[in-house]
Amino acid sequence: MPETPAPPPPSHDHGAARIARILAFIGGAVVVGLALLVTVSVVLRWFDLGGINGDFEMVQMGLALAVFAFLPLCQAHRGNVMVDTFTTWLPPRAQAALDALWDLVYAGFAGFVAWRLAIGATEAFTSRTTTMVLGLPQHYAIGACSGMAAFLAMIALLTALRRVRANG
Amino acid sequence: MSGLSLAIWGFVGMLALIGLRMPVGLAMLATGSAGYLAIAGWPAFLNYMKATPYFLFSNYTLSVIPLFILMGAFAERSGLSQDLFRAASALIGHRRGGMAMAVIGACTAFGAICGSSVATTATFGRAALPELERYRYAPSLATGTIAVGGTLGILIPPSVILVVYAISTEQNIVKLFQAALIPGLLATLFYCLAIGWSVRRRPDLAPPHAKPSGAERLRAFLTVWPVLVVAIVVVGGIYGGVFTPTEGAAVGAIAMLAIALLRRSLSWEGFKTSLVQTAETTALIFIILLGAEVFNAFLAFSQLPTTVAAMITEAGLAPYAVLVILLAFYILLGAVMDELAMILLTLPVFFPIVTALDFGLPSDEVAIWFGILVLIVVGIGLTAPPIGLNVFVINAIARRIPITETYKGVLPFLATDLVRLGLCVAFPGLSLAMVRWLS
Repeated sequence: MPETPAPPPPSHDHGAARIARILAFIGGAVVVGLALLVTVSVVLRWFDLGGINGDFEMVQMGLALAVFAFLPLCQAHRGNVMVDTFTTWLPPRAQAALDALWDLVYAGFAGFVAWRLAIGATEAFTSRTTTMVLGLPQHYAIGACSGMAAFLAMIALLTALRRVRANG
Repeated sequence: MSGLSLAIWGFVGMLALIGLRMPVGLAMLATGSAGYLAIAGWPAFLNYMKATPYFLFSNYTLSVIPLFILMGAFAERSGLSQDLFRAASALIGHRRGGMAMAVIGACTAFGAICGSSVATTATFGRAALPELERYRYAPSLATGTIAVGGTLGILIPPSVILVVYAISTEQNIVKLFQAALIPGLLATLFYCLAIGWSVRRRPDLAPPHAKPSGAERLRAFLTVWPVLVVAIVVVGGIYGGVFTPTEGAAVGAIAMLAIALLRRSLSWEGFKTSLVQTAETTALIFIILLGAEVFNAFLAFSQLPTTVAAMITEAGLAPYAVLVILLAFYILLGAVMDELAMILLTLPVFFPIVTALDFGLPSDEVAIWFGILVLIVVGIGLTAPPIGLNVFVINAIARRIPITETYKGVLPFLATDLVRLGLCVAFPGLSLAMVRWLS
């Protein structure tokens, strides 16, 4: 059923899932960092010291990076919202086969997104696209998201494999 | 095939895939991509996907979602939510049904620092359920109360659902937060009344216990005042325009972390768990946002939203009849579908219909009012059988209590939800008073 369970203790994660967990933790640290940045900016503004220039842009860029860092762990823990009410009559093996199939579809989409974002990053590089205020180059961020999407594709393949093995 | 029939097949296909266990976000992404390809072709789709996933996620307004989730996670991991419940139960717990009312009260306070109903349900499932069992409250009342209490996480601003509504309809998020306050507090009041009614009818549901001493009550309150101050500063600051919602969420998350560190109640493990919990909850919301973005791009190409909107407007139905039909549709759909996905997929069709109707209000006020009505029906969908997300969350925590018991416990609250929805439909002023007063 759709749910957001408390994540299992770290000992449950092995190999790639461990990396996904570390990546998610780093993404979380980025969010804490953004919160700190914005808080400092707000406090400075209260004292009429003008706030931090471009905090807006850093929040935008940091958010995209953090979200892409979060996605693999969610897949590794099968945290995505799904509805199992209408398939309870199926034998468990058929259910697992369906889940494995959707993992493969997810892997396909994640791989596709990784490919498209890699193209997007290259274009941002050649056109020297930067943010408005701070002039931060966009291609690093888009490229990093592409890499994390590729990792997500790998995680989805692994979860598919694990389901097939468990029911082989 | 015409765009219109493609769109209808798109909806059918998406629902079928969801029924076949496909994750909701992925089902929208897959059918949306297929429809996009069928109408616009490969080159356009390849170009679209080059930047969309990145720029959708780098939306400043969306940043309040992980920040508010983070603030709630810090509060939970450092035991602040448990303290909130203890303070509320020290205050009113000795009355008949008082421990259940304390859950509602604590959820209301927690709702002001957390924007997610699932997080609120899970938090109080862990913090309050053992206490309710210790005082021998009936299982149905205990889990039912926590399941509906969890909806206060979104009914009391801030609210993930309102953020998503604001973005997909291009409305002012601060005004939506303002408008949600009175209906949210009304929910608190009605839930307490429902508990009072239930225990008066069946006193065995909630055995009374001794009143704590004045000193105990004071001590319980003293542990929670910092949280209450943060909640008031964050929500008040956003209302008063002192800071944007993102800034409020950031300040709140840092303040909550600071409180936890000063109280020495957040371990390194707890800190890590907070971040990972934020990661998982954020990820599952954003994957649905991405799926809805692609599916809605396909819908826009198919012109289904404009066609249906024109059809309904030309049918010449009474505005209130249309509104009631839409809300009834939401309640039915919300009973079997994920609520976030539901509003993301239907708003492109429903929003233009509603704002074009004449309710004797300016159309920007109708937009805000409709947002609050949508929020209320989403809350109903989260607890109503057969698929109430909050009920599943609490049942995952309280495995010994059968799910039918929880649904039984939820029913009196659902009745008050319908009354509250009716009141908010009949009196738009309940939602709009705060907005008018603060502007």
